[in-house]
Amino acid sequence: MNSTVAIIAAVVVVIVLIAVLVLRKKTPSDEKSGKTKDEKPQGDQKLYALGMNPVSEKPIMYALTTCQHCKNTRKFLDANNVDYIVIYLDEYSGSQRSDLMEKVRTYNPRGTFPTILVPGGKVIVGFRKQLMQEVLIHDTGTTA
Amino acid sequence: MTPEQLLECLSKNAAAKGYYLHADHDHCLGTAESLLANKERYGYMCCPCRLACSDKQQDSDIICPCVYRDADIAEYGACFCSFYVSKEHKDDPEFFPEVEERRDPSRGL
Repeated sequence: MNSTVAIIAAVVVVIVLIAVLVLRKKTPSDEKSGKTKDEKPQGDQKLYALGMNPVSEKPIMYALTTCQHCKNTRKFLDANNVDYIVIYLDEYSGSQRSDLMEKVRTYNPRGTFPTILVPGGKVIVGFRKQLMQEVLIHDTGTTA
Repeated sequence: MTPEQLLECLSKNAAAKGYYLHADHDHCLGTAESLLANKERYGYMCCPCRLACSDKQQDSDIICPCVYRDADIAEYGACFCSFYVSKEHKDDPEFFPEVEERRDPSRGL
């Protein structure tokens, strides 16, 4: 009787150990495949709301943290003292990321970055020094 | 792997196809850092100038070097990120052409 209980207990312990090992193995691969992305913290929710309803007195730039054209655009705007708001889409995941991308496509159907919404309705796509100079600096005689 | 090591590796691979990395070293270094950031984030080196959907199969066309690189270099002299350039522009650090996105919008998010 005692030996039967001991065998059952040993089997249960082995099953629990195997289950723990399998679960440990699964987690990193799930992260790699992106399955857990939705569980990660999202970007700033106020910026998300603004990105979905882009009404502002300042230019709104949709960008990626990794994009060199976006970095160059920011450098140019900063050097020219242009006040703007930047929303990084890659800081969001799941439905918020796709919602924002869909919104970008309403202004720029190719969905490229940076996409800048200028108050008044103009849209600047890409790192366009000349256009930014005309629209964001020269047009107003001052910075936007 | 450091960004500098990645640049060295990608430079050799590009040379085998007759391409070069952009002459602006800071631009290339920034791109290499972003590629490594994407590798960490998604598990693969997705194009840093495009928004990944986190699904390797769906993003397969924009894993660097993307499938559009050859056509972009042939038409514009540079890839979409101006990371890879043709021989003709290999010494020009100011060469940043406006490369039209070739990717079908239906493939992305």
